[in-house]
Amino acid sequence: MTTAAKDAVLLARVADGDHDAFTEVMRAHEDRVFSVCLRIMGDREKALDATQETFLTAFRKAHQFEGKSTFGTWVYRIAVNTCYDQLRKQKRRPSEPMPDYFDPADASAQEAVEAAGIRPELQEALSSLSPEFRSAIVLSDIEGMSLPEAAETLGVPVGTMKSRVFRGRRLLAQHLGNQNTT
Amino acid sequence: MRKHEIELITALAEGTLDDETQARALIASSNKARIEYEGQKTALAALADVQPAVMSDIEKATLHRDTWTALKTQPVAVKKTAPWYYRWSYAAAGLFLVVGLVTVLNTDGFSGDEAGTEELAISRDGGEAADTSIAAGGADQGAEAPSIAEDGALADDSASDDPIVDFFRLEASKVRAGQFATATASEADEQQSVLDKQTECLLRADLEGYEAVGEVSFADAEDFGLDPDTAYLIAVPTAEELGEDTPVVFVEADTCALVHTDE
Repeated sequence: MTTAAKDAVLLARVADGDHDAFTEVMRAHEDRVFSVCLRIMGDREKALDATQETFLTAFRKAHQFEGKSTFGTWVYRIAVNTCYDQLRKQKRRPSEPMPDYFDPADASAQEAVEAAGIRPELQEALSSLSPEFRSAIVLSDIEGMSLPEAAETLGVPVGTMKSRVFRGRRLLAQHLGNQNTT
Repeated sequence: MRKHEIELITALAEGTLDDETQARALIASSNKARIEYEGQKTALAALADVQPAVMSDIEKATLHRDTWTALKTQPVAVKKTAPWYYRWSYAAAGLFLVVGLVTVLNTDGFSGDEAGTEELAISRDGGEAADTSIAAGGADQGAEAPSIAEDGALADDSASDDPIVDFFRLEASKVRAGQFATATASEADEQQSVLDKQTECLLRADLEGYEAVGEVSFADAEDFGLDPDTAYLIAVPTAEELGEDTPVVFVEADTCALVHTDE
């Protein structure tokens, strides 16, 4: 049985209320979905929300999964789109600024930064990119997807993906360079 | 920069070139190419330090719990692809029916005349009503079909060569004579449910403007090559008083397939 066929069987079992199948699907993809969301959103809580929303969307739209790609590729595309949506909403509703008494040296905050596995200045540089360039860099350079796989996930031609990765890296380097010079 | 140059610089920065000569020559000859190359190298070096993001066990447990809870309140819709044999089963059933009919019609024991005789045997004393089981309620059993002549021939004298057609004509004439039962489900809700189901079935059979007046199965249907367990909806034009000219339609209750129209 192909991977896509196995995924379809698992999804059908999830639809029938099979908790084991649900757990199996979640376990197979949750870490990578969360990682993609965290790198795009730049915030752990928002990434967790986006991860949950991604799986809910995936399960609810499971009847649209045609098995043309793997379930993984399909679900990562949903993850990226979910993050885009949340970023758009975030833009419309800017979050409250941090209170003056917020101490970034706080142990739990430090823990969260360490758990993020990325230097804050790099995350800041990444967050400065437009969602299109950011997702291209995240999928290609952080998640290690091949260009065709990343292109399929984002639903763009491979040529567009190459261009986005190249320009995204250039902008990232510029941002990091500016940070270093300031 | 040209596409080829961008690809060369990218590949050089990623270290995927077998022969770097051309790419090295490019960045040596062009300041712009050199800056692009350094930018790519800087970004790749910074990104190489990124550790894989993982969720804690508590975060995973919360994610599973919340997602499962949300899914249970709004169930998943999954397209269930029918296996190939299921999709072909209708065609196979149709073919089987056709072959069966041809076989029956070619059998000496089932010539048109004999089918008529069979009907005679059933209908002489009105016993055919007793042989007709009314699924939704009791039939007006024992009442003789007025359109059936004493000698067993059909009253309209239009017996066809097809015993099944004759069979349904006979049943249609009984319907016109009022020998069928309206739905008499015990509970009002149940009755409504039956009526809704029948209405939907008639619409599926493209019988808009018709209403189901009964649901029957024919105990003697086997004699005519039909399945005695199959239930049929009897439909007539909505709100039309039953009379000799009333069209009577039989629709398979399970498949909603139009079986016979008697006009």
